[in-house]
Amino acid sequence: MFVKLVNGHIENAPVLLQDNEKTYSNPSTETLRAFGYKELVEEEMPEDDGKYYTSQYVENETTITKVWVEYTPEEESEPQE
Amino acid sequence: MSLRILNTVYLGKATPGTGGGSGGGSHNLGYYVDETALTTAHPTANAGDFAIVGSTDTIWIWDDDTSAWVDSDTKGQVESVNGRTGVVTGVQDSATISTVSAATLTQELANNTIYDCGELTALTITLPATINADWACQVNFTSGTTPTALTAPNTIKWKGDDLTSSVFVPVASKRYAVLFFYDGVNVRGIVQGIA
Repeated sequence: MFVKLVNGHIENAPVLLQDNEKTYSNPSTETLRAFGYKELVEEEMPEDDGKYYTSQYVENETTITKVWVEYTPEEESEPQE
Repeated sequence: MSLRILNTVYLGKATPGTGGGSGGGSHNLGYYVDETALTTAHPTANAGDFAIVGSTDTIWIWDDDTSAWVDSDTKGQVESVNGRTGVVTGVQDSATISTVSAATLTQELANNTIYDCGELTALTITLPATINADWACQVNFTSGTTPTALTAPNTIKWKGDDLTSSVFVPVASKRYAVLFFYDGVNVRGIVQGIA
């Protein structure tokens, strides 16, 4: 799957791309790369180890990788009486 | 109007002619060997008069408007088409059929050509630099389980099946016939797909 990272979110590659001269229907991987789309690599979510994880996307030269990052949830404050 | 029908309608009332052109009935003036015989025997006639002329094997009718004999077989005939006269013959230019066995095709579309392809993974088409008014061609291909990647000039105006944002996007497992032709302004691509 080819995607593009936009504001921290991924957009799937469309079935139709256009430039000033041509239309690309069901574009090839070469065309998708030329339009800035990269292959999506998804890491497996860590097994349940009692920790909290959130997903993030890391972009490099040719791929966009979905990684899982540990985080600490904010504790809810006790309601005051 | 055929001779057979006129015979049925009118001649049945007539008395058989005698000699070189006698006839009977109110309008049937009989049989004459040719136009000269008819016009000699009847330089004038009355509205509704008719006669059989042997040389043409047709009914001739007296035309009161022009005061002349008229061969009924020439009435209603198409004498010209778009200013052209003569014998009409059917002419069909044979298209060039190009059989494509490869899985990909990159092709400038030639006039009067049918590209008959099998399953294509990729189809890239370009248009000739000069396109005449009668330019037309056709591309037949199969889009497999992975849809065919189609690259085309964005000047083509598409109509028909499987369009996305007015552009042809082949879908999986369909056989397509795409007709391209020039309408004087745009090149059109007419798509028909069968699953």
